Amino acid sequence: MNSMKKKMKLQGRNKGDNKDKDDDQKNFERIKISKHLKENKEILDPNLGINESFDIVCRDMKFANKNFALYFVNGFADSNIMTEILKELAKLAREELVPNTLKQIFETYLSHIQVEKILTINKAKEAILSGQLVMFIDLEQEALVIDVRKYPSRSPEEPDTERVVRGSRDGFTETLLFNTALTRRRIRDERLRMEILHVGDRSKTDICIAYLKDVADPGLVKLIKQKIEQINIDGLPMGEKTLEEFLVGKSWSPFPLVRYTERPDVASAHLLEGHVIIYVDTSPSVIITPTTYFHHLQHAEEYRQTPIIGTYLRWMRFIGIISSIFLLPLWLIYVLEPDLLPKTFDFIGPKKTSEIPIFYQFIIGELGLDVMRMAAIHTPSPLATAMGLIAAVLIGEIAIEVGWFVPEVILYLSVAVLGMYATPSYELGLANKIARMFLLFATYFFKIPGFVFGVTILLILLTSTRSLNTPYLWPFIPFNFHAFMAILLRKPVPFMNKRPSIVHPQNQERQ
Amino acid sequence: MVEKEGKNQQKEAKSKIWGFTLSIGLSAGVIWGLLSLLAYYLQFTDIGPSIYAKPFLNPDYVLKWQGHFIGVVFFIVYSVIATFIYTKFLVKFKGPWAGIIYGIILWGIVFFLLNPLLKLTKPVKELGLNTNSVMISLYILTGLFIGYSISVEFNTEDDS
Repeated sequence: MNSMKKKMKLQGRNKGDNKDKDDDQKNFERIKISKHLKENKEILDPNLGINESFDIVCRDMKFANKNFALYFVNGFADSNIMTEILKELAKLAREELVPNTLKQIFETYLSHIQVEKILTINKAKEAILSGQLVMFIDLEQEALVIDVRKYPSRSPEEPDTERVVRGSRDGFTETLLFNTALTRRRIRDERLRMEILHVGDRSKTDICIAYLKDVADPGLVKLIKQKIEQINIDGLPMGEKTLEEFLVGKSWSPFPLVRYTERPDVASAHLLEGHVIIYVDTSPSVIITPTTYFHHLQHAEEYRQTPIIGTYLRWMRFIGIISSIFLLPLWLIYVLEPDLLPKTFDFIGPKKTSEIPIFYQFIIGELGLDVMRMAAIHTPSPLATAMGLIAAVLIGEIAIEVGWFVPEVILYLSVAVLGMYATPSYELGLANKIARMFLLFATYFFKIPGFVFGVTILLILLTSTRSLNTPYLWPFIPFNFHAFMAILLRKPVPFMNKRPSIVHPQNQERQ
Repeated sequence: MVEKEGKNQQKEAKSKIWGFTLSIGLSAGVIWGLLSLLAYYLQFTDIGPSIYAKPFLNPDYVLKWQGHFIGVVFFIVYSVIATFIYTKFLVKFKGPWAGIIYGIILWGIVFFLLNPLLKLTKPVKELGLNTNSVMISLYILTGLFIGYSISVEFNTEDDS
């Protein structure tokens, strides 16, 4: 009882503290830039920790007998541009600057494209921390923000997880600006909107929502914006994954509720269909919404080949994915109840038996393969060959010889795992694996009823899943004939002249 | 004139509803009918789709493949009828659960009402656990397929 009271008291106090803090924040936002350089410095220096942190720099300079203070982050400022600007300023004589120093500099002498005037200390602070150069001038009530940023970044490379044999080789990088430019390069439409939002009390991560204004569902855009604005978190170091968890809600479903892509061509194709794309700064993957299960089964490669080949590739992929889920439990049924086997398939079923029941062999195999997969991710490439050798020869062959595994188990496990790797979406591959384990357990404990009800429960769960108001199994359940056909067959692009109804496009016809 | 146009529009909307219902019914019949055939082939269940055609069928055919394929055709017809009934009376229910319950009710009608009446197959008690679980699952999924498709198409759902 006592402790509860104490807790409540504490909470109350915390609330009060927060209120004070908020007030401080508000006051701070209102502080205007003072006419005297010294006063500005007195507020900014302790606030930014000048002389405490080494990477935020305040450089005091004097041009044409006037005092200047330049604030910047030394890792972001491009020294070539800075030198150029400072050189120009150093050449100036006093007559050229007085009167109206700020106006003169802004309009004539500042040799840079992106320059902005600001009025408040808070804006100055934000600009400095985002990597821009902020220039305070003595006896001026405005400061200049000069965009001299150069973020450390790599150049666009083909993403590892979405390779194609033919087609563009550029991929998104960690810099938001590059990513939006790569998209804008593919869609030069004035109706393509890119709205920027900031998330994270401390990280102030940039997030960009891209959509076609006359196509995308305005309700969806509003919903996404609302959800992003509601996010209350200190930072997004894991980028789009953290954002996804805020977007689609706290869910224990293993299935991926949004689709990621690192390919600008895939992102553009979805934009044209009426999807909404979300970019997060510092991450090369962008989020495609709304997403259904079947979005995870498509791959850019199919659209790079002729329709027939594309359809064939897609069907092979479907067969791989279906067998990655159902093959093991199905075979387990016939091992447990051999009389049920259709006569055509009499030859299957383990001839030799091992000391270990088949079900446990599967479980051991699954776990072993996962350890191997994780090891493969972390192994540095010089050791990869050695690891492959260990995996193939030692574990595979010797495990059979010793009697841990029946050869057929290895065969079906390999087929299932191959099917998992053929899944275009890595996330869906992992989720399907969980579904497979669930079916294995259900089959082992309850035989055929277990398998059948397991599949039914899985389908019901998937059907009742909704991601951003979109039924997850569309167009299978709820059924939509045209969309379903578009999934079964890779149609020629000239025939795909209608946008999918699931995105609720404002105009159905593609131009 | 305006009235006429309004009437025409109403007519068009109505024919659109029934057209959609027909397409859902047909697809439901094809997909789940073939799946029940597959379950029979894999010997998960003792009763194939031929039971749906039994009252109309030459008894020689009932256990042969021709019989089962004809049975699938009958299943398609029945599922179209079931879909029309759903559109007519149950369209206002939202969410997937209405469809699931509809499926269970259909299963009850077929196996507890029609089965003893038309002697389609053995009584439910003697069918065994395997057959019964396969049949219930098939009806649940067919009901879910029909119910949820209709409900999403004709209701605007905005939860979550």
